[in-house]
Amino acid sequence: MVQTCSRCSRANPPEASYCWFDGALLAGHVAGDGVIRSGKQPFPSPFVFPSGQQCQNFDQLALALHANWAEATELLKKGFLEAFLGGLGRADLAQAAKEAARFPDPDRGLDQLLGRLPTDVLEPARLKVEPQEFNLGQVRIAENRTLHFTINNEGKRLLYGTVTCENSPWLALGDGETQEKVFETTDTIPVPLRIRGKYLRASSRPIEGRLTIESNGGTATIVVRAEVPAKPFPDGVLAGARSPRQLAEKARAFPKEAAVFFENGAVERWYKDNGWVYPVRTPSASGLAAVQQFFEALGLVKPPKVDIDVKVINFIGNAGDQLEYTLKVETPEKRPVYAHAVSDCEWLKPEKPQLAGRVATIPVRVPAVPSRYGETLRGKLTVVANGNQRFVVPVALSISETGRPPAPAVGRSGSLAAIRPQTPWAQRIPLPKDLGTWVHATPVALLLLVLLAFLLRDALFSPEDYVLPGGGAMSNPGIAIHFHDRGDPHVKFDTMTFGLEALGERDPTDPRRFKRLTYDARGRSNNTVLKIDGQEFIFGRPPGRWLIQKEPLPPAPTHRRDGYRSVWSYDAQKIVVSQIVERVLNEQTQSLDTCLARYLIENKDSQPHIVGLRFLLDTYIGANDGVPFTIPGQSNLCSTSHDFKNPEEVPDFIQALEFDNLERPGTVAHLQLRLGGRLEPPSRVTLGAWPNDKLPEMANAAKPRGQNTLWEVPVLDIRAIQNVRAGEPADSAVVIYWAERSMNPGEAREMGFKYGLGNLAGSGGKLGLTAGGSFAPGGVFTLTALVREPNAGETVTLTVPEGLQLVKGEATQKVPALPEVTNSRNSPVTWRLKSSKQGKFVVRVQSSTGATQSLTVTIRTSRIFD
Amino acid sequence: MSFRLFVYYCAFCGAWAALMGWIFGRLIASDSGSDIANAGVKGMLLGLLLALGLGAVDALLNHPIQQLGRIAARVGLSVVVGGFGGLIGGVVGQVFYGLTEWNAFLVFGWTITGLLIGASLGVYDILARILQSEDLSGALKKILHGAVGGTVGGVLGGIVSLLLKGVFGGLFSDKPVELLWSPSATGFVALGLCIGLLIGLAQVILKEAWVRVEQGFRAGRQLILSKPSVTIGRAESCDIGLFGDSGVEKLHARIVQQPDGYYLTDDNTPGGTFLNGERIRQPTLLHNGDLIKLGSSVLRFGERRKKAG
Repeated sequence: MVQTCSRCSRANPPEASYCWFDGALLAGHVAGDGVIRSGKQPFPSPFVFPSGQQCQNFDQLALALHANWAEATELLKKGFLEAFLGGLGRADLAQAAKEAARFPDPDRGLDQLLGRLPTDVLEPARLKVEPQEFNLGQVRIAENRTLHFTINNEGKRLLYGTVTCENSPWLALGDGETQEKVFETTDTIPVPLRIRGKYLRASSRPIEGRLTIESNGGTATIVVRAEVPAKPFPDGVLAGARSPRQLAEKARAFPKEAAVFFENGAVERWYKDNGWVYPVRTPSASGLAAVQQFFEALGLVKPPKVDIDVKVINFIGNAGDQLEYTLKVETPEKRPVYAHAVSDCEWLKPEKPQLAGRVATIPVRVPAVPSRYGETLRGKLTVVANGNQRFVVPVALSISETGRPPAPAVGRSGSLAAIRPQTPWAQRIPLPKDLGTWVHATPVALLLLVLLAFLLRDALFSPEDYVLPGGGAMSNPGIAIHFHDRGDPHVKFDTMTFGLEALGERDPTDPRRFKRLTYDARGRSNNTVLKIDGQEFIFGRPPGRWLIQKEPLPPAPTHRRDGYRSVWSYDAQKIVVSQIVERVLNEQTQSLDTCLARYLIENKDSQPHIVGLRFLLDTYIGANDGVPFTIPGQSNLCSTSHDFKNPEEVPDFIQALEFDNLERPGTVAHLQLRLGGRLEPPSRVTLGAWPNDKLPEMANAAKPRGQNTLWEVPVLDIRAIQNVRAGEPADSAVVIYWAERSMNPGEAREMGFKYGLGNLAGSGGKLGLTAGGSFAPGGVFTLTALVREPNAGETVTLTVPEGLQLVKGEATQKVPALPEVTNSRNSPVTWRLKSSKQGKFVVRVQSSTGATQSLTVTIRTSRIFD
Repeated sequence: MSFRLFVYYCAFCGAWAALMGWIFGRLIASDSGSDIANAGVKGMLLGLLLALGLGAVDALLNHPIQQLGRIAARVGLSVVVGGFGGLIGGVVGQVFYGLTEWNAFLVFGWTITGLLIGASLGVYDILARILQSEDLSGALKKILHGAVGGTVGGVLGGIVSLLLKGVFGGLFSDKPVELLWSPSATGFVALGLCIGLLIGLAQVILKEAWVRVEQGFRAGRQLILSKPSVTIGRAESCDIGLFGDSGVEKLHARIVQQPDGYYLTDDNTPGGTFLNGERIRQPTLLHNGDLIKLGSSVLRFGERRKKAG
């Protein structure tokens, strides 16, 4: 088994008795039974000390060096040992001797060499201290004591190390004040330990100090314990307090009675007697302020924010005068103020402060103005108040150039009462105000003015500024038109479809939005389809390209126009289509609540083309996607589908009410189909379901494809979607066709419609009136009366005012009965009227049941198309 | 500039900058491009102008007007980072808002803008420390404080902005909202004001050490100590310039940050540096409220005490 040397820790073979490396006896072997005992091997020639002592081997040499320590250090230093060991052929030991000789501490050097010699006669150093604990019992503050402990070396080699008592300021080592001591010994050394009384601090618990001895022979600790009982406060309401906390509690309970002890220094002395550091560093205050000062110093109360009444003091006087000024430090808080002042110049003496609750006054005196005629002396007064709040007050003393004027006798007497009037001499300089509050406030005031101007602008601003024809006041804010002018995930092209919102009302399903008149606010569920020579194209989608996109309309001669023109070109056919959409004034409501949409088709080719246009309008009011339509001339509301197959059948307008209530119909959507002038009327109009792509394909009908539906839109029941998806709301749409016809080169076609808000005159909920058509002089319009739940045989009679004439229908008509299946309770009766002149006309309808309703119709010349 | 004035100026510069951003945004970004590009441009203008205003106030707090070069560099860096922050905030906010139409994402975008504007105020300090191979902790704290203030300001400003938009929009509910000025303008101003106010407040409230000039050049001004070594003197390059005081040397003293506190050292000046009336001979630890006298100038050192542990 491998054997490990106890000295060098190296591995040796199982048969070894001595270490192969340092010759030490291996564990389990008896000295002498091995091959070699290196320490006893004789030298070729002995080492002889100057005293004559001879050493025959390393054991003898080690013992002799240890025994003759001082002599040995000299031999080492002078190189005798190095030479001798080199002569033995032990170059390693000679080198070790050389290094040891160079060691700064000769003792440590010799010990180092002894450690290298191949001998085990010298045991290594081993630390032992006695005693290991001191218990001093009771010790008084300021009582000094001296104790001793010993450091013993239980080995043969040199013991060296340090003794420290760093964390115990009341302990000191040796005769001085040191708390760390270095030691070296081969035997025993006594160490004095002093108890430093001035560093003792009274405590309710025993205090404990520790001495730490760290050496090459081990580490030891000596514990020193002592009891330092606190002296109780001797007097008054604070009597018996044994700790600052107890004293503070007593002072808090009796602040007025305790104040005197803080003021006269008794508390400070008590602190000193107990070895504690008095927390108040500044001169003691008086009265309650002294208690406040103590509590602030202990951190038990927050110091009040104080202010000083001057920033600069100017004295003016003659040489020899005595001058005085009293400055004031105060706080708005309900706490005592204390303060004191320190001067940095000889001629200025602050006096003892006078403390009175929240105010501290400090007299500042110039005892005698120096004889430095004509000079101005400057100094500083540092005022320190609660919480170490400091104020530096510059003081100037201007001394008169001429000598002392004839002084009154009292001046010579030097009595304070005879001093010149104080206040005039101590000129109070007010604290300079900040750079003018108004300078800082101006930008904010300007900002507020700008915002106020914005508010005024918004308050005074009226949307009618945008349309001036007629100049009438608007009854509601009208509509907003939004364009699909940028691609999105739903429709990736900029199609320029448009949608409408009624600005006067909020969307019932989302109050953040306005009420929509089209299903999508940007009209993405609408589409416009061109049919050119049999091919069908969706306007705004390839093939084709924008020539102009969203160009604002030029102002009209009399007013600004609110709309945009976009021009799409079919390059292959050289057909150019312009879409002009603008917000226009509704002559009847006098509001900007109508959208006029026009299409101008131009054949730019050199050959004719057959062209038609179709518009799909996804109607929507509020949250109602399936509103039934009112059709003038029809005896019933359309709540399913209707197809006006030829131009003659197409009505002037159709309307839809948000609620089937004549008194509160909600939003009334009005679609004007015949505009007159140069605009072609539609050739076909269908009312029915929006062509949802979920709808089934019908025989002989085009496939519904949503907003991608082409020319032919299947005419389906508004409620058709409910057959496919139960619970789905009805979804209505209007499709307007302008039929294909041949266009010669250079020819243009223009068509359009108006869509927006209509009005329904209704009161009492029984009878409602609405009108639509051409309101220009000579134009024909339709008047519709809606009768709520008509009685059998009920009739309505129209009274036609002068200026209008009835062109179709009798003045008195029978109200049709409601059909058996309907989702409306109103029955319509219509008249067609013609105007002969401009003006406002009141038409009146009376029911045989007694209900009466009037409607004002405005006839005026149209200024846009004619 | 005192801290109160600093906070006040931060707030109103933020408000003014936001108003200018609103005006420019309306002129430049009106109805052009996509919603995201619009929001990005408007956000960038807001961030750029806010950072310009706040950077200028911060620069004037940290540098005397004589150090025009440093002021310009500080403001320039703030503008770049602030503009970038506004762009990012605007785009991110709009992207999420466009997808969800949740107002929370508008606030989120403004919060990002506020965060980066707040952080922009410390970019100059970071770069300066790096170039001078100095300790970055003070500059990092400044960035952190700015970012905290900007974030809180962005959240608060965003909420106030939405409320104001709602109030003014409701006030003129009979008019097309796209034609009104006051809802969006007051909203912008509130947003800028809150971001500026909170950034200023964060810098002041979270400061650790500062100096107030009690007497001397521009008495009353206060400076936050964010550098490991702050120079005091009458040279223009000094961090605390005491110009016009003949008793003050060009480089008179320093306040040096050490792990255990701030130390005042005199630069071997003939007139000396006095701490609470006593001339200092070696680096001396400063305590809250200490008065430092150089020439005829007096500074007061302030320090926020750290909680133990």
